[in-house]
Amino acid sequence: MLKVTEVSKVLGSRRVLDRVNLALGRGEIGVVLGENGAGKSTLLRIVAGVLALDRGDVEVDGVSLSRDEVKVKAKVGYVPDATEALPELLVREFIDLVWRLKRAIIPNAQPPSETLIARLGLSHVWRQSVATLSFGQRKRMCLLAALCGDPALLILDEPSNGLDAEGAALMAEIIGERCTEDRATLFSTNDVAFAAKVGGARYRIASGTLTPA
Amino acid sequence: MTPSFAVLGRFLVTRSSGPAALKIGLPLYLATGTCATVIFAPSGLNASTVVERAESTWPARLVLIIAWTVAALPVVRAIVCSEANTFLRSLPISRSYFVAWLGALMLFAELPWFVLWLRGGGVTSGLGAVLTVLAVHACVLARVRTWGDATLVAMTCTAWMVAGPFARIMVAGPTFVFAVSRAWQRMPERGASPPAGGIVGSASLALAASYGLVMSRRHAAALLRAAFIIAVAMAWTGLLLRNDDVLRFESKSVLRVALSAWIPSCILAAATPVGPILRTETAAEWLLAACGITVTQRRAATIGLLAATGSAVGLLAGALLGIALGAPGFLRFALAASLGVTGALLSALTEVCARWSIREDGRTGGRMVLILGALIALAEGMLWISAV
Repeated sequence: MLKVTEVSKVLGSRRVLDRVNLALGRGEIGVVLGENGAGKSTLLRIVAGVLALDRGDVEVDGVSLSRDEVKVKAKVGYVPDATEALPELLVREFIDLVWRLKRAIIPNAQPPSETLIARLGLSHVWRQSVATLSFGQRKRMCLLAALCGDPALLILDEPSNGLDAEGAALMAEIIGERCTEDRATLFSTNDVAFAAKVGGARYRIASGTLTPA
Repeated sequence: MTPSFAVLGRFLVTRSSGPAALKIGLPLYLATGTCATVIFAPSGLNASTVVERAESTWPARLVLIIAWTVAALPVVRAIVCSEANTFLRSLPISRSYFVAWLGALMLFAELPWFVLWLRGGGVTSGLGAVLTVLAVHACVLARVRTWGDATLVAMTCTAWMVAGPFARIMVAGPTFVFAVSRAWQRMPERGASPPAGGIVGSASLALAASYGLVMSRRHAAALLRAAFIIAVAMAWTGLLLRNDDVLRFESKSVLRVALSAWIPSCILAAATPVGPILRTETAAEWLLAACGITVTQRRAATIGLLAATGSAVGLLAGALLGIALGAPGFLRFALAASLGVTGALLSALTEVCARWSIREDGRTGGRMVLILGALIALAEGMLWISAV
């Protein structure tokens, strides 16, 4: 499903990622652990196609990111750690926008179901401005946006960050369900309890290199 | 003066409110200076005439204060609501210090308005006018929520409309102090959610619609300022043509005069929202990248939004100008069409210039000013040559 080969990235004068390799099969979960500033978010941003890589390649479902970026992005859903984007829009408008953007590359993408909206606890804030949401609520909204188009690979940057216990449990539950549907998930975290609850293959990133934890 | 008072002032002036206000206010003060140079030219009006006329008729007084309130609101908002001030709230500094410094900075931002009334009507008139506009700005920033707030706003407006300068000082002074304090207190609070807008169509169209919603909700004052620039230019064109019968009945001359006012005003007006739109695009970068939105789709959204708005405004301005002049049918159509087409082209061109300038200069946009100035000079030069 996901194959990261020899990926390197230099930010400023610092080599954040140095020949990183990672592989995830269908229905698998990958957990990236590491200290603050170790390069977890950089790796996830590269895999999501948000940040360009300097060397190496990323393949999703056999499609290379450097060869067909759009086709790869059609298979990927991404939830960043910082969730600042268009805070002036209502939650409903934000999700509608994301759905329409994704429809450009996934023609059969469906808008999120009422059931999923309710499950993520967004029904009561549906007509509320994004700016008025708490950090945890924004995280839930971004998860809903990432799930638009039913991506084969879900990338979550610090998914439990800012979530209450119930929200973190729900996040773990959704990741688990995706596993049974043959869909892969890659996430970074510093929350050891959350990582233990979700399970999956653990990796640790330090000094730019990724090793099994 | 206690140390924290001076330190707070230095921080506000040099690090947070001051730079934020200067960045937003510079175009306003340049535009005000340019307008003032034209209006108060040696053979033109003087401050006393303007103030006298405003004092003698309430509609003129109302239009003047609304125009300045709208034009200066973004600058005043930048002073009070600068994001860099947020952490200051947690420090053990008396609120009266903030009120004093923010009030002083706001007063500085209102200087053109103050100078007009000071020169035109004397010290009392100047103080009355500046305190009224300061009170109105502070009330807008504090958001009217209670009956007490509404009463203060009503009293300030009534004093402006019906009372003399001394009464205005007596009413607007305390309102200003009270409202600045409230504005500071309520700064981190969010307003109520607006009614839902429509995001429809393809990716580019949906993106353009979302930028439109962001602009109308967060940058309404910038949009009003752009509309104000165009309204002034078109009013000036209408007056010029009305007073010159030779020009008025010659189609080519009417079009030339209308375009010579429309081109600079359209470029300046389009430059007002283009910055916020491109900043919104940058903030949503991760989302656009993750959704696989191509550069072409992004450009189509921003250029399309600006061109469509420029075209609509041009059509409306041309049609209104034609009606106001009592022009024949053909000329009305020609005015609306030429202003509509140039509006679309110039707005799109402004976006291209802004994007290039930001890419080359970062957020300072130094090249943008030069390019737009050159563009205006080129267009005006071509019109002048065609007339000769």
